[in-house]
Amino acid sequence: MSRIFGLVVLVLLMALLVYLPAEARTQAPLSMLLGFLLLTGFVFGKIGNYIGLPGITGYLLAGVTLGPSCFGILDKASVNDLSLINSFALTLIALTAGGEVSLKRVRDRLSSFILITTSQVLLTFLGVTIIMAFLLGFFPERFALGLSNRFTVAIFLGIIALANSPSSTVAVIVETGARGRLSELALEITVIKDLVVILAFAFAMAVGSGVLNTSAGADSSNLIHDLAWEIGGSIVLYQFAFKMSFNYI
Amino acid sequence: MTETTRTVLLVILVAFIALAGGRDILRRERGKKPGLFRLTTAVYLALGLLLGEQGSGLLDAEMLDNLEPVLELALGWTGLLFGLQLEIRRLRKFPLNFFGITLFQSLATTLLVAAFLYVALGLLLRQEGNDLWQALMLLALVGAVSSPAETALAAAAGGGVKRRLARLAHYVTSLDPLLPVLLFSLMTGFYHSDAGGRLIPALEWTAASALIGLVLGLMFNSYARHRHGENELSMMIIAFTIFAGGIAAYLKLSCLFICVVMGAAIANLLPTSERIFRMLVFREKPILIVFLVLVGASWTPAGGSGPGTVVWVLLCYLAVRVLGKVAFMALARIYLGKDLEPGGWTVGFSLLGQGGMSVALVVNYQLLFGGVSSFVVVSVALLAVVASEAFGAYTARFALASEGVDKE
Repeated sequence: MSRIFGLVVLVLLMALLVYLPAEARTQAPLSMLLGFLLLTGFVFGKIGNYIGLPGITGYLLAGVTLGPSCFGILDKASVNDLSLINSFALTLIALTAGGEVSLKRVRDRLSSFILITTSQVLLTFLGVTIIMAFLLGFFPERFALGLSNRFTVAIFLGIIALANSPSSTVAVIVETGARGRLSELALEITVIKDLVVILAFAFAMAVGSGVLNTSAGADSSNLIHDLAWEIGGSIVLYQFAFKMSFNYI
Repeated sequence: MTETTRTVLLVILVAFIALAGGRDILRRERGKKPGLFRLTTAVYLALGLLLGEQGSGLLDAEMLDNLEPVLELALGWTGLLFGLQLEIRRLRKFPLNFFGITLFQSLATTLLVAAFLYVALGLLLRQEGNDLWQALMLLALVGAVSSPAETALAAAAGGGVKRRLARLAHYVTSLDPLLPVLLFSLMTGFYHSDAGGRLIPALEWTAASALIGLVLGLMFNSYARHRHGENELSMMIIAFTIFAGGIAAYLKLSCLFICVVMGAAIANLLPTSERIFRMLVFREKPILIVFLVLVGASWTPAGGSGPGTVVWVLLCYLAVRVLGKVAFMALARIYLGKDLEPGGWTVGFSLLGQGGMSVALVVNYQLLFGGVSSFVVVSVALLAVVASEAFGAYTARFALASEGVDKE
């Protein structure tokens, strides 16, 4: 109850600050928005836990409620300002997710790993591609596409449907404290699948650009280049910087 | 490389420096007898200078703008940590006249340094108007602040210590920032664009800052009353500190003062405030290091007036500060004559050390004002902190050491 009271006071305080006369204030700084989001997210997370949901559901709900699409306490410009924090958070999440992936473990469970990943990828990809290719045919006036184009678009949608959210997986695993084969496998598959999605997307862009007559083919080579740069850079950074620093710290 | 990627990588670099540095300091502290000579502030300021625009240019002005929330977090952390020490129940264990002495010597030193600087800055910098007043007020307030680390080092260095005098010195140095932080908030209110340099609006803005700090303290209380793990509690402390810093920046108020009030409210209302205090202390060193590196990165040591002016103002400033602290503590000592060991007329020398709170005042000034004279003023204030840190423990030892009396 006291948390709800705290939340009400917080929202009232924020509303009061936002509606102060312009001469008494400046533009809302990033730190104020960040602090406000962290605190409201915290309470929403606890409410989520109270009704049996993971905290991350509460955090997402807080974002939707406060964001431009609902109450608009945070407008679009403020959300854009927070993109730096987004990058920080994603970096940390990616680091956590990567840290949980053990190649030795993957090798030990290679058969179940390949079976689950392949079946998931194939079933999701084929299912979404076929259904979307079929459904796109129902809207000829909105999507004026020929059969080959329709399939190309459906393939893109099929690849996008493969993508998982490592951040949500990490958040739920960390929050529940899940330890064991299933949680390890779930996280490893999520991370590896992300890599598969990027490669498949680059490949589809290269092939699809010819079919759709766009210049996306050039972008696909950039995508492969960026991917190689980022993976290579991460390995170099790990070998030379992190290993050294961890030894020191 | 995008701007965001660059910022993320630089933050990782600064965080690594902070962790490694914190580890290094801790390792040194685990030694048997800590040395009296310390240059921690100087080292990290120099490192910041190397990373900043004056050095390699990695942390340029745009990057430092992006990192302003980190600076506000560090500023708020310092304020919160100080505020948490203001627990009335604990302060009552000391004689009330200790509190009076703390306020007296702090106010008297502020006034003395301000009077000297009014002449010196006016002559040397030929400044007048708001810039001059803000600059001299900052230096006077920074001059009045002392740090308890030096008295602790002096006491831990071995040999005899005048215990009652050391107790007084530790109390005074621990509470010394109280008046300067309050006066800084008053100054912020006075120069607030909405106050128009009048006293009543200045008082109103100070009251508003105190009210915001109190509300945040009460909110923290309502959040933290439940059982929380270390991670949750850390996140909560960070969230409240950043939020307080953000509100201060939004309303152009003193972040330091708001966080001190918030800390005091938590200390006096939350039964588990000791746990919060311990968590803040545990993470203080890395935060302080990040703080110093960022301050160093945004520092222009010589500024437009040249190093000669800075050196002259610095030397005179240090001399007046020493005079103020020693003379006013000697005066206060008359008042406590019977309760202290004989011959403690030099106890003011134990109040010469400076640390994180002094740097925090400088940063808060830079964030809020940063006027024409800021280059010289910031340089003088930071170099004074470096000098005080280097020699503060020696002077404290000189003031508190005793030959064969009350061995500790």
